[in-house]
Amino acid sequence: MSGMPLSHPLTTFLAVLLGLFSSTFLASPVAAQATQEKSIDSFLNALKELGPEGKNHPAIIASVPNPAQCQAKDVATLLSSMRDDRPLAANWLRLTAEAIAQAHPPQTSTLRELVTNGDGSDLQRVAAYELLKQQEPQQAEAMAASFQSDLCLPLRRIAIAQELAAWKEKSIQSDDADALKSLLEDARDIDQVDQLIRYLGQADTEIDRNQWLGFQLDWKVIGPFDNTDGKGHDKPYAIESQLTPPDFNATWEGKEGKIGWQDIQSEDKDGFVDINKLLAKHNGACVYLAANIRSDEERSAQIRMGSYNAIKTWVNGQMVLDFNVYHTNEMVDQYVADVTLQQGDNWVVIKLCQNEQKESWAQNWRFLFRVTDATGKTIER
Amino acid sequence: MKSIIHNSSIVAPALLFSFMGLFSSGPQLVGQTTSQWSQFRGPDFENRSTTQMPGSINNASIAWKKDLPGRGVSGPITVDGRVFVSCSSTAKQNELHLFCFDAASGQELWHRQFWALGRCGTDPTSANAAPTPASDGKHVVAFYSSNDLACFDLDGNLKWLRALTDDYPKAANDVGMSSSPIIKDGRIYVQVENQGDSFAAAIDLETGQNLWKEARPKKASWSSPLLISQTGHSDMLVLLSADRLSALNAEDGKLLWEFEGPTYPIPSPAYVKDSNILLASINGLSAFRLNGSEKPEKLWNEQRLSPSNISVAIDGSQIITLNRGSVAVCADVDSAEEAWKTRIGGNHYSSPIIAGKFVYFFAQDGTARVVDRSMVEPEVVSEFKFEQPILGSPAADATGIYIRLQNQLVKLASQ
Repeated sequence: MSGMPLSHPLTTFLAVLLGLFSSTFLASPVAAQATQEKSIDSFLNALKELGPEGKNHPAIIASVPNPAQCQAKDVATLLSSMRDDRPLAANWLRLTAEAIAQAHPPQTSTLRELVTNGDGSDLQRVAAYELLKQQEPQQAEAMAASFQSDLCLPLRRIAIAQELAAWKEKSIQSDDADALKSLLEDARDIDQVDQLIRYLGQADTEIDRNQWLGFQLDWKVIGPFDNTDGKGHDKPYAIESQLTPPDFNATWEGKEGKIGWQDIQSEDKDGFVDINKLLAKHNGACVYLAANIRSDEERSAQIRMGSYNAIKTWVNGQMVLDFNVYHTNEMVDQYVADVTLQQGDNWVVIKLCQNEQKESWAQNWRFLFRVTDATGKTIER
Repeated sequence: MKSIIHNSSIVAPALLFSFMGLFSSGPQLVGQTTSQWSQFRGPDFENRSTTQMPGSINNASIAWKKDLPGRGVSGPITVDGRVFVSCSSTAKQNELHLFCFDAASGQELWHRQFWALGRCGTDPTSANAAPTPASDGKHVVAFYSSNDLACFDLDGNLKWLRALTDDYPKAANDVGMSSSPIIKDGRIYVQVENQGDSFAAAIDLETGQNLWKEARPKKASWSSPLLISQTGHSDMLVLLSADRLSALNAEDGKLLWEFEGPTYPIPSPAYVKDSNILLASINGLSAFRLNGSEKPEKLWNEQRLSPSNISVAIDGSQIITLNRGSVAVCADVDSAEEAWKTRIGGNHYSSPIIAGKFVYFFAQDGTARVVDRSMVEPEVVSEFKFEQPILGSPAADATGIYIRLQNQLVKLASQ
């Protein structure tokens, strides 16, 4: 029986199929590499158009590289494309890089380089570290100690956590104080700060936590103003027309008659300024508080607050925080705002609102306030 | 010249099959999409499995356990022999994790890790990893209190990623949010109710883009949505909010009906299919007989059947609830009459799971208790203390029950 003629439609189809197969799978490594680089490039380009509510998702999804067809070096390409100001895009890159790394583990030397590259984004460095930790935990642990003063705070946290784990096993003596103080200088996360203050106590060195964390405890306060049905939060009482500084001699019509400013000073060991204790307990009420933050120079800073209550905060007359929520937890550094401190006086005014809930757990009317640099270190004032 | 495809009758089919095999993407699970426990409360929102479990828990019952690098109160889910579980780590709870384990061996198949971009604050007993993941058998969707929503295939390849707090910046609750997503017919349903940007939405599973988004009351709810399918009607999305029970047309998000009133928005609403009755935590527990998409009639409400912080388990026309006194009550939903009750003890956030003739309860302090409901007077027949708190709800497949401890996933083997 003779073979099928070359012009037969099936042979043509199979020839095309074979050609496609060979061009796809038997092409030179160089060509395959070029195709994949194009794919990685397509993904990176598509991600540039990532927008709100899934904008450009179809194009990005279509361009996500298939990990099986990628190479180990693509992990570094993706991680080094991360930008700190585009964290959502960085998450796309990180999760794609993790899938590629699982199929094609990158060299640990490449990952170490990505971690230590100070010119890289923080996100790149952390993602590379976590990949290294998954791949070679001992190598990751070995390099962590060098991060104790790193400007990348997640890496710094890892270094300090490692140190704290070691101290946990020791019997702390008074001559350990200097080493613990050095760690405390670098620690930024509150749980680590608290742990180190406890260890320093065991080393006969007492640290004033409120002072260390820079909680503002002295305030001028005026209130109560009406906040029935929660409407006071967004009601601009006349007092808000002059905030830099407020007129501390003026009196205003409050919820229960004429009111004026008065000084309060908190002695709370945890840094809270408690209106229920320092003024009076009210429900459906707001107070205003004011404090002067002196600065020797013009500088960037952060104000950091925590409260169960609705807050508005102005710095030098500009509103920087506005959270109209009640009783949803209170934490140190719960709310953070970037601000510029002027040389000299900087007036901070807080509007703190309590609602009308009757439950025992809804009665807290208090806040935490501190001023730090961008890393969370207390600014000396 | 001899044709190079002379033997094409043999080569071509083989080539074609291998060619097709090479081009089929992803895991070879297409067509094998049996989802054993694909979402919070299981495939029918019933907290019920037919798995035959031993009536006692002890160290020998533990098939395997895996440490997790972060904490969580989310439950595991199981899909085709794989177990998925989320957790969140760091002091700020801003590192999000999703793990996939082999259900039989406990071997880690993959682990993905990314940054939370929304607010991460929670009560210390909770975690950013509070909502339970969901799957349609091909995708797995992980959702977190910070409103980060990620979609993967079952092999851990990223499909898409949303940061809902980027889009709706006031969507947050620093006590933590815990509402778990639902997937059905290519849509993800989320309930994000809080004092800020409060909403419910349907999101396209393929693209991650909104299909619809509707504003919800600006009050916190921790309850998870419920999807009800009734013949001849569009699917109904039921939402329990802080001040109302609402039913939305799942197709377009438009309101079908609602009852206003004081609710307890932690337990999730439940649907007893055999009786066509909807249950929700209003004035204890309230029952509504459904009538298509019409506003239903209220049948009864009973304080004694209030499920406190758990979501009820359902078997036929019976429910098992756990009231504030930590007493398990089994009741018929048509009449609200008690079939049995027994004291369990302990504080519970983890919903009970029915497994054959047993009901498993997991208390916040880590104590597991098993009730034999086949007894004339059902009671606790076994008690076992795990070393960590348990707030997440368990999952089950034919081979066992999966329990989420604070930092650990444990499998209890079936008989």
